[in-house]
Amino acid sequence: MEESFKPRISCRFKIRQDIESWIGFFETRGVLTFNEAGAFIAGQMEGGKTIRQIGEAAKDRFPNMEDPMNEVISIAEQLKEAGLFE
Amino acid sequence: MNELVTLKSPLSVNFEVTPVCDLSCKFCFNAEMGCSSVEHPSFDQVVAILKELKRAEVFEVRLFGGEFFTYPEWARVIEIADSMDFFLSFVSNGTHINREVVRKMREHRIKTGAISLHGPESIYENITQVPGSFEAAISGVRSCLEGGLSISILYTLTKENLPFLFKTCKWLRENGVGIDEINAGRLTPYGKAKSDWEKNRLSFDDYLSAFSQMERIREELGVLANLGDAFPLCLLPEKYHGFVIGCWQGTGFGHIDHMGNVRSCSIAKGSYGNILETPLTEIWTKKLAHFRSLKWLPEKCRKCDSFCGGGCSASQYGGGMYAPDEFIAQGGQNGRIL
Repeated sequence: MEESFKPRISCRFKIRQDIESWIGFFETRGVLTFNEAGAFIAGQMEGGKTIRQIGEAAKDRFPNMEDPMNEVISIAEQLKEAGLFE
Repeated sequence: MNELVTLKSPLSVNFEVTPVCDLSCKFCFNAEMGCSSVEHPSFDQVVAILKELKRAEVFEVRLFGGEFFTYPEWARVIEIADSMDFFLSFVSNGTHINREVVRKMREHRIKTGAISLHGPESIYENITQVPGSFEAAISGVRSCLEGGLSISILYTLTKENLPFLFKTCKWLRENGVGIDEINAGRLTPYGKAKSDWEKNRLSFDDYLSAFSQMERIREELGVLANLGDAFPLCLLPEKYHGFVIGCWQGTGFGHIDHMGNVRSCSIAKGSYGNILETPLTEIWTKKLAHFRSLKWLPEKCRKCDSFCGGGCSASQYGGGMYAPDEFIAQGGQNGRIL
């Protein structure tokens, strides 16, 4: 996945912090669970930011994250596989 | 041992905005309340319940009844629920839905809904006991489809309508009612269906007949047909496992009645608490511990590697708020575990 790609989740969605994880509710598609960083990254995928920009935002938010870019790509690929990108 | 996960609140709820309904279905699970004789709750109470659901961060509200569209201020309910940013859907008998109702729903981001249709015209109206209700329900389904809503049909299985599941879908197709999905529901011993249960209940073989029809509906009509409830998979031929949607009550799904009482299932009665008195998160995390422990299920279910929830917890006569599936309780259909 190119770092210039702007991932956009193609349905309305919301993410909430739950007891043991973060839960994303994707309209008419279903539910996914995330860790805190994953929830933050998925929440950025509204079409306005590139993979690189989301990676930078993740690095700012989670300074201890080892490889933010890889994390963003990994989540983007999972969401794509789940059919959540157009 | 299997157990269910505890979330802080349901992800999705059926919110019984009003207990009032203008049909009189013979098997209605809600009939103990007297659907046609009770009063609508106040708008303030409806809003208060929505606020509590919002506070608990519930994602989705399925507008439910009774019959939601009999509520005089249904349009204001949709407006305010949308302003609270819920994902909205509805469950209805369809008889009040027209183009204007659909327009209002679309305006407030409703994309999907479920409409009850329990058979062909004569069977359906014998169940609802309201002449003209079939045509009104079909008109409601058509209005939704023409307005761009995705509709699933709810078909509660009874002895009377069981032979007509496939035929009803075929009729819909032949009459230009292009549904994508039909969910057959299990008849459960609550409300009106409770009386004369031994005579009315469906046998295991009746369900096999329903699954066989669902298979034909998928293959011959291209409509996604499922059992919309849970069923013990260990009793069911493997080829039908993919036809069982299952149930996520008590974890991701909850039911809120018109007074604010919380249940994990829309059908079973009782209350874990009232969200107008106690925060939903407190009720949801503390009051369902025994249910989620699954200690009320047979050990074979609690140890099962292919855990299906133990079937439908509202299917057993006298089961209260939850009990093992009626077929598991019978020893696995005469001990026949497949």
